[in-house]
Amino acid sequence: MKTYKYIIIILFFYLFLTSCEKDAEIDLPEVDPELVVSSFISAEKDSIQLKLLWTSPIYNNSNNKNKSEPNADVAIYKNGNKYLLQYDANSETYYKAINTDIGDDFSLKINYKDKVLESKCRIVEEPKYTIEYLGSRNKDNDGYSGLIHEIKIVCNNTQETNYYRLNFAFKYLGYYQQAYTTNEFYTISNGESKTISIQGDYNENADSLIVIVINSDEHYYRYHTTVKNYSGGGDFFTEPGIIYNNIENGIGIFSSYYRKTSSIKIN
Amino acid sequence: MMKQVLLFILYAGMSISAFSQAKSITISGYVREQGSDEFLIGVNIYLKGTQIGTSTNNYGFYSLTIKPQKADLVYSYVGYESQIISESYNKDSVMNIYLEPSTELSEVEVYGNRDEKIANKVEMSVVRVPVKQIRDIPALLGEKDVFKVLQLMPGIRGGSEASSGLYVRGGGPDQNLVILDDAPVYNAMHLFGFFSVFNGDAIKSIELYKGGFPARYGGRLSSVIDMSLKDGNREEFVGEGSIGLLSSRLLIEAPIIKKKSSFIISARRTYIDVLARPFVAMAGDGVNSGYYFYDLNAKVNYEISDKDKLYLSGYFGRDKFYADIDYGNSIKSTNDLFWENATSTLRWNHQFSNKLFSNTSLIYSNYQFVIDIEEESGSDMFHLNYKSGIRDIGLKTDLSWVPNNKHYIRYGATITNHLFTPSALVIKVSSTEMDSRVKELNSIESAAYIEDEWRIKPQFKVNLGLRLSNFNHNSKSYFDLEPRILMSYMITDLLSIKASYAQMSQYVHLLTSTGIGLPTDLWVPSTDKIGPQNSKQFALGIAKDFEDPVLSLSVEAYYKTMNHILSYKEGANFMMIDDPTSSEEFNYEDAVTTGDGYSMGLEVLLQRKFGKLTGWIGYTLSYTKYQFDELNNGKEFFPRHDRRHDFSIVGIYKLNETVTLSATWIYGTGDAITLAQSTYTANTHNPYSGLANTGNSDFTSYYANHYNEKNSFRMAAYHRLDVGAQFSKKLKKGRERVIEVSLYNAYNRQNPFFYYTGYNNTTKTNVLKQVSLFPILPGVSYYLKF
Repeated sequence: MKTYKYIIIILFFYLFLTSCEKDAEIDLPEVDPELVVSSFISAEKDSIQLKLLWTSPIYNNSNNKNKSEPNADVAIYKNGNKYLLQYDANSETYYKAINTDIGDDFSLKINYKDKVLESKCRIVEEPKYTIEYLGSRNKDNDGYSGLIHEIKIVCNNTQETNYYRLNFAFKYLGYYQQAYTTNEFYTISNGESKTISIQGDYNENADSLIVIVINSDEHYYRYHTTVKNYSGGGDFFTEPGIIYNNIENGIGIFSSYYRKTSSIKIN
Repeated sequence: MMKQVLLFILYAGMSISAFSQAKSITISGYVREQGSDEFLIGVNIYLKGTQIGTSTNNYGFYSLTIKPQKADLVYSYVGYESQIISESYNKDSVMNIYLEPSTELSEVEVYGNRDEKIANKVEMSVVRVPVKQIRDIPALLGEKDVFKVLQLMPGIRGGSEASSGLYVRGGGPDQNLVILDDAPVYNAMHLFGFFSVFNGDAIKSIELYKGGFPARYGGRLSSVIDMSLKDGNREEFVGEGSIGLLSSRLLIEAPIIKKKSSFIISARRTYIDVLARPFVAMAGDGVNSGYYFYDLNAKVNYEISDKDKLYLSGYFGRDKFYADIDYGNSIKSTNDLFWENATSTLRWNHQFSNKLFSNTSLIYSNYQFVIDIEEESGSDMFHLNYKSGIRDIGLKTDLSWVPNNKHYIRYGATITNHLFTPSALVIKVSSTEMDSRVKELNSIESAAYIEDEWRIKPQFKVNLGLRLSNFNHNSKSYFDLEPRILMSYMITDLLSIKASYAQMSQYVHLLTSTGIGLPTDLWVPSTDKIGPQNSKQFALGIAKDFEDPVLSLSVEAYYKTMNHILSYKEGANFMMIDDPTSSEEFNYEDAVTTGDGYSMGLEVLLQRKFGKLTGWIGYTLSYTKYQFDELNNGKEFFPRHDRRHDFSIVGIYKLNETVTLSATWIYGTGDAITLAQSTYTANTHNPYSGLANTGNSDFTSYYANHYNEKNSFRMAAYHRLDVGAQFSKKLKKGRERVIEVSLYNAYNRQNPFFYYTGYNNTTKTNVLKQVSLFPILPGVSYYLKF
């Protein structure tokens, strides 16, 4: 009798709790490979770099490597003047020395066989800000030990909306270590402030806190925030995140930024 | 806005002048069920052969004003023997009526009755499902579910497989107002949405409005589900119980003071934990874990006088996971995760006169999700308690005034204090509080409304209404005027055309990434950053009754716009609030984004309510799109629940006095999902580039999937057949037992629950895999009425 009881219970749980898994019987559309562009231009730099790679089909494809494309015509137009970028096989990057100034309009045109990819951006100004160091506190629970440093940053850029990206590093006797707190993104207006707690000073003996402040255009901001929040889905509970794209007839990002670094003595 | 106010004042003036009439008399009273004294809701009372009539309100009260005359007054209600009272009505009179449940309504008996004709009702886009029918329809593992039956109606679809979630006319699961005896229920799901929290045994009536909203309802964009609990038998002690595969239920009701006061208690508990115990024991020593849910409905009423009645009703339901682990060496941990709803309503019915009736409710509703972890190691103790939820305390008064037989006026006001707790975390080590982070948000929501069901001509009726709503959170205050209009014109006695327009505002928002009713779904208020959601809905339809056979057909087309609706930003999801220790950083206002949407559709419902074969055929053709600046690159997309075709057939066949057969078949276009079909390297800018010993490359690479557009891929179509049979037997002393057997997913269709990328070892390539939840599942339950 006891055996029967267990058989019934096992059968019940088998039916109820085991889900069935099989190959999906549904037609997948044919997917052509697409070109992926990545380029970030800054007035603080005297050159432009661009990466150009191919997408790789997920299904029915045994080679999933995202290959670089060395044979495209990659042209940059600065205020209407054309510059051709050269491919460097070592770094698998297209490159051209070009001086850029704040407010310059750049457009991108890539020709590869019958594909024409286009995009544009405008060079943004430097981040204008003030930073106040608010002190540190100790934290030894939640699985984290070490000092938490707090700073307050005030935006002085006069655009209606400024796109800030903040990163941090600690300096120990000339050696830099990235902070645990990283990639903080803000839309911030003139006079607005943000207070940030920075983790990562595990040994509590850093000399300085390095604050990397990037002011960017909206494309840069949206692309990086969607990459930061990117989720590939893969389960029922998570909606896949779609990474921002500003390339016409392709995928990727063509955008501008300006980076400044501040060092705060903390020890 | 000003124009709307002026129109309303003009209309009110016209209405008042219309009340000045020649001498008339008023017949009023209550209609109850014979044998139990239960008030009956929606009983039709009319003068035979005319369009003059009324119906009982939610408390069984009616008032009908007519000219003095000799007439046949008909009291008619589906499932009950009609009563016709023929006499000379020359003065105001009180007529309390008792209707006898009919053993079987034949089509011949129904012929000519107006109680179930849809053509002459001043309403559209309303779904009413008799509780009896819910019992007859086959269900997953025999667990009867109110919401799953509603999902079989046109315009309403469920979420994923077996989910009780509701998506009404393109709206999300956050846009449904679920009310139980006037109290809102915030998480109406058990077991991740597989079962709704409502135990059908204790429910007296269910109404779902998906459009044409009367002004008395507000607060959500897409639907209002209004449920009333039974009051309790005032005549005798009765009860019923059932034993099923997953749960058992028991209901008892009895008089406290005969004809004066009674109570009802209904309880249900699952025994999944008990059934799983052998497997848990097998899993390892020192582990005691399991899951169960239970719910309890209770109501007590007291008739103070003919004109005053008091009701106190309550609901409590809880889902609980627990895991007690003994690691040995005096190290133990107790882990509880539970979520619970508690509602309570104290109601006072007062009849001011034979034309004016009021109901005042004091309402309490609380939903909370709790994680409680306690770890003991020798004399050391660690305790973590995390909570999130919402608590409402509200006061509401509704008045019905029936000045004459042309007007039925309802007006009232409501005020609610919402206390939102997006997160509250307390950590203690050896009874010393180490960390405490409690975030509470207080808001006040209020509304006032007036509506008039106006019979302009015998064939032409309108329901005009206006609702003024207000929401206050901190220093931010939102107001909205929500006009409502519904018109019905009878072309013939059996055919009418109807049209409606409704504006709705929603001030409280549900953050959900799945819509399946996870306990982590979070209710939050409108703030200065996130404003209220709004909708406008137009609907046009025809209602046609057929007399032989008795059938009703309704065809409705709708167009709905939704503004400022909420969604998590891409990549953000409930997991962000799932980790209690990260709650400090979680700010829901940063995690969500607002957008707009629209939905349009055509709904067809052919229904047969009488005879040996009853049921319906429903079809919905719909098209829904959303647009958010921050999602899908700002382009429009289909929400996951967009379903082009939705088809359902429900049939209940009474073979003889003891055997009832039933079947449902549903078909729906596959869900819209985002499916990656290629991968790429997403290079980002390296901010540390050039900084000493942190690397020089300008690029940092991430491996990412490439999605064409959000929700641009369709899952395979969903279809399923459920069949059931009930065998009933009358026992001695009026008892009755029913044995039900059912098959869920009778032809074992493997409907996709979700897809993922798998790997085929033979071809050495990636393949798309699907996961299905429920294969063919038998169910059996035993029901006893005593």
